[in-house]
Amino acid sequence: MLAEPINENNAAEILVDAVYNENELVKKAQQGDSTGFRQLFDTNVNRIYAFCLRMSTNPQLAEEITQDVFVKAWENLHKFRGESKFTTWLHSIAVNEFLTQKRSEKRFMQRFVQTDDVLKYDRQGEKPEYHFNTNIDLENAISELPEQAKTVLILHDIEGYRHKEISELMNIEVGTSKAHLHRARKILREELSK
Amino acid sequence: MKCTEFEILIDDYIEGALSSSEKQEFELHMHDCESCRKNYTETAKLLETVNSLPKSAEPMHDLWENIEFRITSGSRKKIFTLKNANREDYSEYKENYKKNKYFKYGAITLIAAMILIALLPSLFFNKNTPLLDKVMTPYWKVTKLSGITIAAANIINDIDSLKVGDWLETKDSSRAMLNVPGLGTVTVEPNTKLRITKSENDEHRIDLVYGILCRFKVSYRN
Repeated sequence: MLAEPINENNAAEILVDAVYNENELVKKAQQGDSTGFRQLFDTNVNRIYAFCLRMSTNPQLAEEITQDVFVKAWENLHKFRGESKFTTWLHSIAVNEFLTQKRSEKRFMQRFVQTDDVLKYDRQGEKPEYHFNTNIDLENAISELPEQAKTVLILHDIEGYRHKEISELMNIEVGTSKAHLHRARKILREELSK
Repeated sequence: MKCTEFEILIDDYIEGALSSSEKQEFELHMHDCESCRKNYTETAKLLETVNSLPKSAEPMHDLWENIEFRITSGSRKKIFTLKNANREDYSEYKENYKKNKYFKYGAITLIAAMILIALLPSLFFNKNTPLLDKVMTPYWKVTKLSGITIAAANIINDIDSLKVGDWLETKDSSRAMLNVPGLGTVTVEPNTKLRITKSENDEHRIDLVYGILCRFKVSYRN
């Protein structure tokens, strides 16, 4: 059977169907059905990986964190109430993974690195191993942004979240989210005009 | 309106979040001030490009296999709770979990016993072997990622281990991954030399002779 082409008349219906299907898959997965979860994984993995890749600028680390996100999602499925889209929920887990990672990195540096060597760990000059093939200069400039500003820019300008949603995802004030975005855009403008 | 105010309001203007009077004032300033007009044009152009960046990317490897292993192995946390599963499901899950647990621990004990038997001759008959050191002292696993990596004066093949006092060296085009017991992994970048100086339960230290260690991932799971 040929798939029905999407047009103005049936777009809303298709969207409702997609949401309904997602809810059904979530219900299945919540009952322990890993095949339902597999379908949710298939639908969302590329988007979550792209987010992790931009945040980490390291394909290997991005893959590891993407895996962690889905394992955490599986472990916490009973907490998902369907109040947001499943992708949004996955993004919130991914953001948390990175925030936790950053905190752990700090502890790691304090425990692990001898003070004389700290400067040698500076990531400046480190070339990101990107796998996005378009707008490489822009992707590189994004990767150099301060961590919080980068997170807000990716969530707002690329993923399309609003400041209210970002404030919930990152546990920050709406005003802080706006300030980070403003700073990120300003730095990008300056970098790209060089 | 001052230029500083204009700059602050650019984002809100683009998002359509300004009131009609603010919008009017903003547009009036943009009309009169060339510098701010340029600022706005550049921001709008930047946004257009950023918005067009891809939202998805395909991982290089199939991630599901590992995820499936992790969510179906005994290491996962419970997935059934009394809130979202009926009692029959929960009892069945609990029963299976117990069976898996006994099977898992039985298998682990058996494997440990086999390894111990295999190691006994070298432990007792040649106490100076590196193997004994590896068994008796904490060691760090080192994995070759690319090129020639020298660990403790030997070129490593794929995976080797380092203990306190050993050093690791990467060349122009070689990289390695170092696993710190209980902490996480560190990537040893090209042209780097380091020495393990301390490895105890709560403290691990290295002396970086030269080079770069980066892209570390710290384990934070319990």
